[in-house]
Amino acid sequence: MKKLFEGIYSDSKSIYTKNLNKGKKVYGEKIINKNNEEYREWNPYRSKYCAGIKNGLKKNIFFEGCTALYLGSAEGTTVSHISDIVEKNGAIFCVDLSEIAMHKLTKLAEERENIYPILSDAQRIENYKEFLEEKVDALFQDISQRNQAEIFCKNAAFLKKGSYGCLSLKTKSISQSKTKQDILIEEKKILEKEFMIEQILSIEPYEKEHYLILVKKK
Amino acid sequence: MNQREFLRKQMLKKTREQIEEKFAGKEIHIIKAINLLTDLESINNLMTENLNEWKLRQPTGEAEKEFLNLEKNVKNINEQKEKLIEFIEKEMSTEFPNFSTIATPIIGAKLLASAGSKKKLCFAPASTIQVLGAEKALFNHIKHKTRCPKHGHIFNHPLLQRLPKQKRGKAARVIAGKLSIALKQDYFGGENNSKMVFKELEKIIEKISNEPEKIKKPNQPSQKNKPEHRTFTPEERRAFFEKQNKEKTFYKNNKTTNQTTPQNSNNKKTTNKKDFKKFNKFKKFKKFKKRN
Repeated sequence: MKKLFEGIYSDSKSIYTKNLNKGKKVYGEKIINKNNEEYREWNPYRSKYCAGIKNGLKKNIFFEGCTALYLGSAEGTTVSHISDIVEKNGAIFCVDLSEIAMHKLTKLAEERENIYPILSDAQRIENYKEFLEEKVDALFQDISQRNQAEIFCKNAAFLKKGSYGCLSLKTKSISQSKTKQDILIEEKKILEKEFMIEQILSIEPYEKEHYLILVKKK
Repeated sequence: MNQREFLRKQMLKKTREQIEEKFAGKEIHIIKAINLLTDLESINNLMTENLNEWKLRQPTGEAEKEFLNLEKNVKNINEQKEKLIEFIEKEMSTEFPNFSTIATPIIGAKLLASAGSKKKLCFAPASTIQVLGAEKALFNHIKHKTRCPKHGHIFNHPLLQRLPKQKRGKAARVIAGKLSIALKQDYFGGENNSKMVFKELEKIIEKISNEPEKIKKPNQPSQKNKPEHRTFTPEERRAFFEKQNKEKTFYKNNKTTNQTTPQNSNNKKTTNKKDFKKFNKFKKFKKFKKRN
């Protein structure tokens, strides 16, 4: 096992994280035993952050003991791997609008102690302001809305200065007719008010018409 | 750390309560049923089309087996549709006694499905009930300034169907007003006087249908006022240039006459009103104003 980032390991083929809740699967993934440790396989076709790591992301925004805000958590496939990375001292605040997806996430939150579920719209930050009195170390967003970049800038109020955030941009939900390069130029202008842009990645073989943008707060 | 665990337990409790609130409401079963009904209708149409086409070819042998299987499935779907309609009528009459008799149960259920929940529907004003179900046309009206929709799901209401096209907008407004009153009666536990209200509504709509029709100009969208782009014939072109030359000479003559007078300090007051009207015809009036 080779160490890629803190908490992320790679075989010659695929990417793994250490299993926090030993002996249990979350969504039917592979489990491997090596050197008395359990590793869970991370599928890049199901998780956009993993696809970014495969295509050469510069920096891992999550680390051990960090508090993170995750917008658009859905059923918790990516969230379970991030909870492996931050371990017991960390915390992930997961925001989602759908009740059916949140129903599955609450079951995951009962098993893993570092997941904090919030049922709310990510545009209305006043709904979950009370839970986030301390500022957050990392911010991740995966929402397919027309105003994705504006939502990301709104939620930057919870992020510490100089810390990193990551946005997965779905260009198809912004405009059907424009090309993806044109959309990216427009969205960059919105993001540059709050952030310094570090890296822009396309995650092409795994997900079509998507970009992963790594930013640092001013 | 103890603080954090306390916070986590509170958040879990809160989200669970929010989810239960959404799942526990009785109206969600009505919404699921009406969504299934609309899907079943489209499935039924497709299957009967296939069935009738196959019937003409007179299937034999193994093909006949498959054909009979299809026929059985179509029968089952029709039975399920009738049961679903019965279920919706029963549930709507217990949940919304006033609303379902005025709106008819299936239109009421469609309105409920597009509103989302009981509370959202009951707190909505009459104007939103009127256009519920016509969201695409409404947002097209707001964005691109097309004509606004007159009716959404209410369009299938039996009282509205008899009327001619021009009077439907007015009638839809009246029906939506009565519906919003009935919804508030149901939500806050008022008395059941729906049959009386329905008779009243019939009288009002008869009155509307007896009114004389207004002759209206057709509303033209603003884009039609733009001049059409077309190629001119040579005769037309010659006439156009002659007209333009006339205007130029007229403008020059008037300029010379006007330049003699403007030595006074207040130019605007000295110019006659008749002269003003003449120059207003030309678009070059602004240039003239600047020079003086």
